[in-house]
Amino acid sequence: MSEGPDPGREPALLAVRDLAVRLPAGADRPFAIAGIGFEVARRETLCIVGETGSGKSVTAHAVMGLLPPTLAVTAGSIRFEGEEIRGAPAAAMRRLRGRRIGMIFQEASAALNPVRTIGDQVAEIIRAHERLPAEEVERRVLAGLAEVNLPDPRALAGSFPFRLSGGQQQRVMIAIALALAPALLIADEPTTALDVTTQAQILRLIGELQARRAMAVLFVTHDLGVVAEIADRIVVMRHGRIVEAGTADRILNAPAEDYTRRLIAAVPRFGGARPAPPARPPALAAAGLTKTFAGHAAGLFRRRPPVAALAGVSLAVAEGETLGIVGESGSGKSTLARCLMRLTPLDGGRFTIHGVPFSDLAAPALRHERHRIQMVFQDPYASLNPRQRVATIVTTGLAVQGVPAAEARRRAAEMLALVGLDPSAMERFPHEFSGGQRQRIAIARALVLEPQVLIADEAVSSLDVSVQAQVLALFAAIRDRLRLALIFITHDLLVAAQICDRVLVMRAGRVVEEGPAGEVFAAPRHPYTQALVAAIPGRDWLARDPTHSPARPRPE
Amino acid sequence: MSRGRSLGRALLAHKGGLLGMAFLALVVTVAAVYPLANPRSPWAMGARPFLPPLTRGHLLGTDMLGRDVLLGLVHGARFSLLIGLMSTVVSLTIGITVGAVAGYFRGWTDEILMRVTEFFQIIPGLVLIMLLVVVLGPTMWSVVAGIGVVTWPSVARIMRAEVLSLRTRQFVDAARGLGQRPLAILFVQILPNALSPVIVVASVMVASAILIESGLSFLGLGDPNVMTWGYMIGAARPFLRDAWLLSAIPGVAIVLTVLAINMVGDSLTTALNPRQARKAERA
Repeated sequence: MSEGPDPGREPALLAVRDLAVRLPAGADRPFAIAGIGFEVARRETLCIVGETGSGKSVTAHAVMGLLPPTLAVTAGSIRFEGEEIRGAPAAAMRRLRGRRIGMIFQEASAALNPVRTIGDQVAEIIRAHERLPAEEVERRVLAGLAEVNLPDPRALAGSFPFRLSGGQQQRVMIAIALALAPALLIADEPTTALDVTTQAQILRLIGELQARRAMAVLFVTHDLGVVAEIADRIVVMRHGRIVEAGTADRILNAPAEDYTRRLIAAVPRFGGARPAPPARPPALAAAGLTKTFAGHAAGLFRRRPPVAALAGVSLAVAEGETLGIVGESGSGKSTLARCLMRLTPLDGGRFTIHGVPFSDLAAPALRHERHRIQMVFQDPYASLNPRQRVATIVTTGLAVQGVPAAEARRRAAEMLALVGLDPSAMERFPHEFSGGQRQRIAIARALVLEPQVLIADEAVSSLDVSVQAQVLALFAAIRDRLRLALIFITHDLLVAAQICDRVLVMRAGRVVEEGPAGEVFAAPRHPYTQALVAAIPGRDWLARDPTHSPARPRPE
Repeated sequence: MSRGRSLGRALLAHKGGLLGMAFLALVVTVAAVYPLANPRSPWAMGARPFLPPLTRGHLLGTDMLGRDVLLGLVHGARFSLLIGLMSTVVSLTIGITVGAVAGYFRGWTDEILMRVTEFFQIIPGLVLIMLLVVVLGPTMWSVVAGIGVVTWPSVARIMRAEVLSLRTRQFVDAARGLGQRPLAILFVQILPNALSPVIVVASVMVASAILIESGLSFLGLGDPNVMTWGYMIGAARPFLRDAWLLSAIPGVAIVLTVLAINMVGDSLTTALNPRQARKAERA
């Protein structure tokens, strides 16, 4: 499916037609992508959006000629600057890559070589394509680093990647990609691993450079908010095919296809706050929690200063209430979760769960009280033991509590049914399940102990948006049904707005703002919260979207 | 389950591993069955000495005391393999326990256990074994204990490294959150995930244990009541120029067996490493 010519646009810089890539035998479908066609013009940003397995990254890699050897382009044409580049010889593609087509990836830290200086790595691409005197290369390296707004380019060029933050590393990647002024920039989820404020800066930077250089951008992402922020035109992909394509305005505000509509409806957004639940006794009450980590060794005799991950945090959650804890990486929110779970020892402060002084319990008593508070972890691929069957995973906690095996199995099966899994799941291994299903298993493992407090640490952030909506609905349902106190930790303000009654905004180990979710996000008082809200990608579009009904997932 | 099946397939896909396993199966079968068909003692001196191979009744001939070489070889296979396996079990038991406990509990436990490990690593292995065998007396058990004591540090180090990386995984945190006891977490959650590299090392260790035992027997420090390949080589040494086959035959047996075990070890490495396993299946 491709669009007809649009008279108002410049001639296409990149034109892809009927592109198909075959998957190796034994995969779940014969083609990774099939029938893909789109065009990108100068100064234009085309976003390819889709969920996991939609083939969006394969499309980007096929254009670059960087598919792994198991995947082969079997049909179609890729024309760049008027010339066919599909099947071009490797040497010709190498000349094109870097010079005419730049590329940036999701993990800047993985793309940079840890043992070479930043300056070296920027210079490398210049030397690979052009023969220039050393001074000229250096001048260009410094100019390139300055252009991506990195402070003190000269000092930075001499340092190694680990000295840089994630955002700075991604800026270096952009400097490398743009060192030779390519006509086309391909960006594959370049901001997904970044904090929301950093993401906003990187998106702005890409936009500025694009305008300055009249560059075309092919942007691959799963995040419709980012798409709304930057796209001129959009291609929506699913199962390796294009669902629909068109201008950003048309796709986002008047989607023609049912799938696009569902995708847009699944995006969490502000305005869903439910009426405040009736006042109930607090399930968990914490006062003055502190935790300081000793600084890492920096050289032989020096140490970096200690990091205060928690600097006096107090909080309370009532039965049936959801407390959101939001903040960027390094704000201490995960440390808070680990301390409440007693996985990491606190330095100071106390907390009680239904009156039990949980923070003061010693080992044997603690083991018996552990069922009161449980946690669902971020990564459902890492939080389930790959060598254990689901039955073992879910019943372990009950076995620790001394529940007889038959009884434990019965309760585990019940709980799997409650989280929406088939009883046959009991005998299977985690790798046989999808990410969303795995997270349901993790939820069942936590809930089977009938906890009074449940902590969800970024529990939906690794899931596709439609799966995310389902798992959020599940959290809300079990909270209401079991009168759980839910502590929901997330970096995603929209997710927090969707599920939380109250939120606590953390920064550098301190609570900077606290209040009902609706109020905090609608009228943030603290400058940091204001910056976080302002950085949400696509917030204007999210605010005006007409297709969305502000109903929060509320079963029953 | 599917994992077990794919591991089997990956093992079979590796031609060297298949060859090695076939050879080992042959050795084990012969070692188990032949003494039943020919129940004489390998020490029995029933024939003329220095009979050449292919003599009637003595397929590989007889040695300087008129003992049947084939019978010696078969009994040698039994004890060489047995000593190899048992000393590997000893080594794994010590090494896995020390490495896992050190890696999981960290702190002073780790410090003490690792210093002990280093103590064993800096002593020359063969000298320590010889000392142990001399002190404990030359029995099969002291040889097994000696080899085990000398080889466990490498297992402990690998195990510790694996456990160090596994203990920070989320599924371990989840188990701690459920209240599982530390030792249960170590043995139920962590160990099954840490065993792959240890299994690979263990297969190679069987081979090196056979070599060490042969060396000891050659030096006359083996169990005098047990016929091993090393003893046969050592005993035939004075006649190397007149009857070199007496040393060569058990020597070849050692070479082939160790080679076969190493080939199986190689294929295990490949099969337990998913990325390499996929490559092997494609090839």
